[in-house]
Amino acid sequence: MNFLKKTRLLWLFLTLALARSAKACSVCAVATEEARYAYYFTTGLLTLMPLFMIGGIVYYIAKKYR
Amino acid sequence: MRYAEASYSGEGALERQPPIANSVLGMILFIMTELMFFAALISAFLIIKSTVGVWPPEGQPRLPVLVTAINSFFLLSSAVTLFFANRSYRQDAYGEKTLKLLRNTMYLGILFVAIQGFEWIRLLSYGLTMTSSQYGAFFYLIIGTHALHAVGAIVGLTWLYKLMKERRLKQQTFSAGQLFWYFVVGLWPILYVLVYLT
Repeated sequence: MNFLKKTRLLWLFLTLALARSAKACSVCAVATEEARYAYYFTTGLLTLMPLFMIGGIVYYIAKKYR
Repeated sequence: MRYAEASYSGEGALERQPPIANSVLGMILFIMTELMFFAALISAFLIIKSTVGVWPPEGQPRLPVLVTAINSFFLLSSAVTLFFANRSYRQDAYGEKTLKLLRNTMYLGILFVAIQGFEWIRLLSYGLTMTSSQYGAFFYLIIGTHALHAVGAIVGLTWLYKLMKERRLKQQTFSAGQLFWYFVVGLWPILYVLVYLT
């Protein structure tokens, strides 16, 4: 544990130095406007949908009990 | 039922009714997960479609837009008959009218799946398969998943019908089944527009 604490700056440096860029973007290869919009739209959809659905249920139950 | 409508049980303790019946709440949560599943499929479809220059790809058979539009009408009609079945159930729980409306809902659902199956056989004979292109892969994946849900919902309706005939069907069970059928019906127009029309 002590060794890890003492060398944490070294680990941080190594991590930054050895890290490579991750090519995980599904639309970066095709930089068309349509692909960009599709990417934004689907990101928004998948991010907001669960929030709205769970929020909707919580709101409904809270309103019923008010 | 509202908090103010809470009642006393036989032993005198305050008994509060849940705002949503357990089976209905369970079904809502299940539908939420299903919606996320379809949202993921639609997202993948939209992104792939946007990265391909020509959609549908050349040399691939075109989807039967008109026949499916007529078929969509049958599916949408089934939601209407189910709505009236539930209304009839509330008035006269195990009456012949309720049974008839529920039966019609099942028939319309079966008709929808049967026509879909027939169209699939034709598309396969024209060369549109899961491996023929991304177009075919997404078509069978998205529309096939919906068809599986439709079949599952028909099985559910059959079970409801059986319970109703035996006079054992509870209102909340009916509502839960009804919700799932509405999910299957409500999702279809979105898939139809995305997959067939764009």
